Amino acid sequence: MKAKQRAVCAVFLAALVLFSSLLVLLPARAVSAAERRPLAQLTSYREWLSGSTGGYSRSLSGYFAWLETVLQDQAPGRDALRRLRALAKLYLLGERDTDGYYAVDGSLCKLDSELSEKAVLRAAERFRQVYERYFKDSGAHLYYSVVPDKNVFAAPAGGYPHYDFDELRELFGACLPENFRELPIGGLTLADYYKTDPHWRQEQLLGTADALLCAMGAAPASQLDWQPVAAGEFIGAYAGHSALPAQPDELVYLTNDILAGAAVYDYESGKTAGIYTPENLANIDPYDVYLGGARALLSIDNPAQTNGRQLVVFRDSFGSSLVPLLVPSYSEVIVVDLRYVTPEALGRLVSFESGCDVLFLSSSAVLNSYGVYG
Amino acid sequence: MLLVYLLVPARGRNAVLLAASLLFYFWGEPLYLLVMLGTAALGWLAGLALGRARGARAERPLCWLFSALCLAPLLFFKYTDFFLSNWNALTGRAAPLLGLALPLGISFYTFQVLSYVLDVRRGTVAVQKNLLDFLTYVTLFPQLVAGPIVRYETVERELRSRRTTLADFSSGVTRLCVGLGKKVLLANSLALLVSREGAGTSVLGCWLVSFGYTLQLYFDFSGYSDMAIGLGRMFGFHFPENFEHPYCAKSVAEFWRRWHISLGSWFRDYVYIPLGGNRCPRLRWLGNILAVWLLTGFWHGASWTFLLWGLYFAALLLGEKLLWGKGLARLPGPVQSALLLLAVNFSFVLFRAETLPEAGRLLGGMLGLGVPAATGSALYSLSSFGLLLVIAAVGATELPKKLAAKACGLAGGRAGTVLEPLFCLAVLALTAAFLVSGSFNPFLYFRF
Repeated sequence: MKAKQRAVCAVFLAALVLFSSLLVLLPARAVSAAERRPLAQLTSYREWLSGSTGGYSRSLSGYFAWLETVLQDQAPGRDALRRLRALAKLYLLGERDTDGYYAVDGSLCKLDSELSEKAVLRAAERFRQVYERYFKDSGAHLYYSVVPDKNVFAAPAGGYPHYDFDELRELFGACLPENFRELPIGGLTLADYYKTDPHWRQEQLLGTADALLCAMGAAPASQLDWQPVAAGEFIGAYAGHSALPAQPDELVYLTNDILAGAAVYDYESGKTAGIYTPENLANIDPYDVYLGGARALLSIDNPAQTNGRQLVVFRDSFGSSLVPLLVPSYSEVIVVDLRYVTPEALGRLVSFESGCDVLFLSSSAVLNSYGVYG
Repeated sequence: MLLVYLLVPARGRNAVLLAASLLFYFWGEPLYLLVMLGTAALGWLAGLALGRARGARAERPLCWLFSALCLAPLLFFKYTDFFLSNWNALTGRAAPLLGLALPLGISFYTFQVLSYVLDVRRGTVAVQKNLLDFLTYVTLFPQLVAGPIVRYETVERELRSRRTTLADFSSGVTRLCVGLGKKVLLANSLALLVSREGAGTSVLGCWLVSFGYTLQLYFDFSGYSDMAIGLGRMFGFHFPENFEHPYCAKSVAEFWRRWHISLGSWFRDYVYIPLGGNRCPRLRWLGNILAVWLLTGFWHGASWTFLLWGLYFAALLLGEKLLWGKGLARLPGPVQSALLLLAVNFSFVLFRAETLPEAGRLLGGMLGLGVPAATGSALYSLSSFGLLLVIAAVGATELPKKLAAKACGLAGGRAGTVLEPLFCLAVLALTAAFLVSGSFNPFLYFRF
């Protein structure tokens, strides 16, 4: 009996001392690479009051609540503990998802079961504002495409709840002006997406790019020579957020001489760069290699194409990897992310040519998230 | 803190505990620390005054006066807005509400202080002259914010002198781990089910919410009590049990002997019996039952849902005593337990609801009024949380305790030397994992 009592006390005290010591001795981590976010740092009350309070009330009790967040963020072995929790939820408690993340055929997905009409209508309203302001009676050719989220393929296969993708498409289309033509994105499967990330794989998108380009009367991309560049292992956002074990993906980008000669001007930074930014592979999100990542407004100049055609793409992050495949067919491509720039500001920065092609390319996940478009 | 406590001489331990308790409370409620200290100081002064007035004519009014003063903060913070809003609704006026946050654990520490004052008046406990010891009793952090309601007489001797033995410390650690597991692993996971299906859009969804919440409430609250009792033992205190597998009860009366025992016995000893209990005319007895259960409901919260919840149990208890109790007792045990569980399940729909219409919607949904049998979301929740519900349902019985005792007794008791520390280690690791990445999940009983 005494041996048991001693063992219990020893285990408890050792765990307590070890955890506390590591918490004090280990250097504070600034960023969680897995969760892709800065971690809360220990600060004095005065310092905390002078900055952002992280959503807590500016009071002593708010500060104490903040300190608990610091403790959670700076806990020793945080990533391992997060992994342990995810596994316990799945295999010990039998939950079918962990914080909304689940795996089908080794591919991680995020539950999105309810169609948010409010969100879809809000997105359509934003696009309509852009249309009214810049493209009504401009002779522009207007197109839209909805990129299916991974759930569209994985949820039915895995028996997870999901909304009807076609219902979302139809609802969205019905809210857009009548002269918008839908360019359906077909032929994709779950294998065309990264296993650890929500995004699609660029090397799988030549067929999709061809379908869009042909529908817009432009030269198909697949006729060109493309060199795949292996950029190394890629552990995507879903793997980090869910903390579920996953094999890393391989990040590949397609390039050729035409893209090598193209110049991307970033209106935010005022800098010009290439289509791909390999230095961004070291970023928290290596997906930033495509068009520099999340940018509000880009202008891509393609000197190799002399047809004088301009393409304007209103996109979200899915567009980052697709747009490079569209570039060779146009002399100029304007890339806009309406999540980061208002329609009003757009006209002060860029000019749209009459008769240009305009493609509104949105992922279903973004369309179905209320608040993304204001 | 634990190390400091164990290292200081016995006479300094109350001071260490008091400092830790004040820091603990200050951390959660910096401003309301004064309310708690004020109530405790009043209780201490009441004890001194009643001790001096013993046998004098002033003793009774003094007791009433101090009891009223001790209750005043609770009444002010918890019930003012309830009365104001109902006054406004009745008179059509628009008296502004106070909108004050409820001081953490005020219902618990007020009842502890009251029990001391009333026990001094009855002469069942000696007057505590040492303010530090009395403050230590009232503010004792393990059970400060959510019980059990520890009466002064329970810890009177241990406040003066106590020893932390190896047996107490190790059993305290195991009990703490059991409580952590109940709260962090089970109750918080059940909370996810309850919040996902909270809208109650199908019969299945409504039953998942009510059954999930019934289990969540038990594991949340009994988990806290386990932690309090475990921590108490580690510091040399022996707090009373607060739960005895209530969902295994076979009648409502038995349920209340197993659920929140310290509150039930408080109302029994300080309200029901002084009112005359059942040794009085039947009409008076009915009145006593109603009064106690209205107060029990009202203690839980200042809203009509809690009042109705208290009345619901009063009606069930009266029905059991006067109408169907004997008939029920003739049914097989599992049927009795199932019926009790059903009755408790319905009661917790009221308990959980913010408003009566909200409770009505969920109850209507459970009975199939205006909602489909199941939705895709409810079926998914059932498939995703089914195992958890089974684990929790089994965990609420005595079976795990019996199995653990049997397993630890294997190999002449040597298995326990390995299994119990391993259990503690596993629970500590898992709770750390759940807490590190989990969202904020306060104890349900913190709001009382």
